Amino acid sequence: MAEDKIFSLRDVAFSYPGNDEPAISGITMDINVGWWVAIVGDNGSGKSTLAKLLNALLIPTRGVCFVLGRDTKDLDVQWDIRRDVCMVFQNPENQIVASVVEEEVAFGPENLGLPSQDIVSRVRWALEVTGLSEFAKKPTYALSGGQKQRLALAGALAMRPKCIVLDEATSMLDPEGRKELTDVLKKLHNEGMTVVTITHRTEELLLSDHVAVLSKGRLAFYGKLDELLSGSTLSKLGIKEPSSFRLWRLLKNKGLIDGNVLPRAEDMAENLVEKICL
Amino acid sequence: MSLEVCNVSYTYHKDTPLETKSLNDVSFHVEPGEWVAVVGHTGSGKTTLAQMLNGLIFPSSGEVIVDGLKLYPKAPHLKSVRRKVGLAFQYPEHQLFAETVLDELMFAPRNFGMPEDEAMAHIKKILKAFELDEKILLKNPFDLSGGQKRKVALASIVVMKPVYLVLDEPTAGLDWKGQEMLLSMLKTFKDNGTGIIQITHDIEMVLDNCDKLLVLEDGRRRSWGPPAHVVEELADRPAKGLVFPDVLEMSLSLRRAGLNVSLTWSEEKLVKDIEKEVFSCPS
Repeated sequence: MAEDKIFSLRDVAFSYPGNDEPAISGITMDINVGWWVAIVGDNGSGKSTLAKLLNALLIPTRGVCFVLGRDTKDLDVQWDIRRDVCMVFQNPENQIVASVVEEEVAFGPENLGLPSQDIVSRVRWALEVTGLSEFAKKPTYALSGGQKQRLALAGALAMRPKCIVLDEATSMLDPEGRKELTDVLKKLHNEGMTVVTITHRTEELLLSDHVAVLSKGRLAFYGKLDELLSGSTLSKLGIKEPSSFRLWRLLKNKGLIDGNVLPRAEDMAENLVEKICL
Repeated sequence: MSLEVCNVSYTYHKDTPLETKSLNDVSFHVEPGEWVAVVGHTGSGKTTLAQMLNGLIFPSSGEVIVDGLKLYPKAPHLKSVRRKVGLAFQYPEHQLFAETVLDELMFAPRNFGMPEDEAMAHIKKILKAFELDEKILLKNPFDLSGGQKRKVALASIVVMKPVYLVLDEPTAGLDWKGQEMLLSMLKTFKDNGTGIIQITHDIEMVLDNCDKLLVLEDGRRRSWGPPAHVVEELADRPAKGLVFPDVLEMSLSLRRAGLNVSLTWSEEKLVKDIEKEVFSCPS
C-alpha cells in the first residue's frame, strides 16, 4: 500500500448493537495525507458513524479500516491510531474537562507521560495555532462558544495528530465563531494536516478538496470538489444547492466569472470587480 | 380587522435588581391573509413579543389590539381572542400529551365546545392539507417521526380555525425538505385568509415568502416594511445577528465597488444586472 494514504476503507459496514439495519454499509474509500475531506449527508445518513470508524472509536462489523497501514481491529495499535487521528465534537462543553485553559490543553500530553518541557512546548504551540495564547491562564468557563471550540481543537492538536476529524464542530457556533474555527483549520491544512469535516452546511463544502456524500448509510458520491460542483451532481444527490452555487453556475455559464473561481460570494464579487473595472 | 401592536414595551422582573427591558416601543400590525416575519438575534425580544399576541403576557406599556379588542389581564374577551390567535411555541411537539392523535386534535375543539362532527370534518380537511393519512388518528403521537409530530402539533392549533397564526421558529430542527414543506403549508393558510406571524432568526428563509418584515434589535424595532424596503434600510449597517443571504451580500459588495446593480437576493436578477454592466463597459 502506498505510504501517502492515511485512511483506507474496504467494504466497511457497521451495525449498532441491537440494530439489524447497518448504520453504514459498503463503504470503500481512500483518503490521502494532506487532503481535506468533507463528509455530508442528511440526518441519520451515517456521517458520525463513519467519522468514529476513522479513529477506532468504532470497529467495522464487516470489512476493514486501515489507518496509516494499521488495521483498527488490532487492539495493540488502537491507542496509536487515536493519537494520530483526533476528534472534535459538536458541543465543546462535552469535551472540556479542566478548569484552566492551559491545563485543558496539557491534559492529553500529560497522559502520554511526556517530559514536562515537551508538554510545555506542545501547549504553547497548540494555544498559539488556535489563537488562544492570551487566554492560557483563564478559566475555561469564561470563554465564548467559538473560543471553547478552538480550545477543544487545541487539546486535540497537543497530541500532535496527523489528522483532525471534526464532527459538526461549527454547528453550534455563530457566524463569527465559525469563521474563527475555519481560519485555524485552513492554516493547519496549508501546513499539511489532513482534515476531515462532517457538516450539513453545504457552504462548508467549499473549504474541502474532496467530498463524500452519504445517503442512507451508503456512499452516494466520493470525489473531488470540482466534480461535485460540475453539472447537476448535487441536485441528483438530493442536496439543496445554496443560492451562492446557483448564482455561480449562472455567472459561469454566461462567462462572467473565471472558471477557477469558487462559488463563494466574496470570491465571485472580487473576480467580477476585477474584470469589469479594468 | 387586524392585529395591532402599538408602542409596546415589556420589562421582566420590574422593580427588582434583575430588571431587564425586553421590548422597547415596538409597533407593527398584521391583517388576515398577510404574512409577517419577525426576525432578530437571540435575546432581541422575539419570543416575548409572540407571547403578547394572544395575551399570555401583557405589555408594561403600549397596547395589543386584536380585531378592535384591547388585551389586558382578566379582559372578558380574552378567551375568544386566544381562540382567534393560535400560538405555536418553538418545538410545539414538546406539548403533545394525548394518547392518540385523534384525542390530541380533538382537545381544543372539545374544550371550546365545538360539536364533534363539525370538528371531525374539519380535522379531516386539515389532515389533507398537512398531507397526513387518516390512519394516523389512531396512532400514539409519540410513535410518530419528528416531522409528523411537528405536523400534528401544528394541526392541533390550526383545528381551532385561528384568524391569526403565530409561530415561534416553526422550522427549527427540520431538514431542508421539512422546512420547504412547512413554508408551503403556511402559504396555503395565508392564501385561505389566515394572518401569519412567523418568528425566526433566518432572514434568508423568509425574504421570498413574507409580505412584511419586522426586524428587532435589542428589543427595539430596527426596521419594518416590505422585504425590499427593509433590506435597503439595513444595507449600510446590518442588524445585529442577522446574516444576509449570499446573493444579497454579493450585490452589496458589488455596489460598494461602484457597480450599478440592484440590491437584490434573486440570483437571476443579479446576473442580469451584472450582464448589463459588462456590456455597457467602454472596452
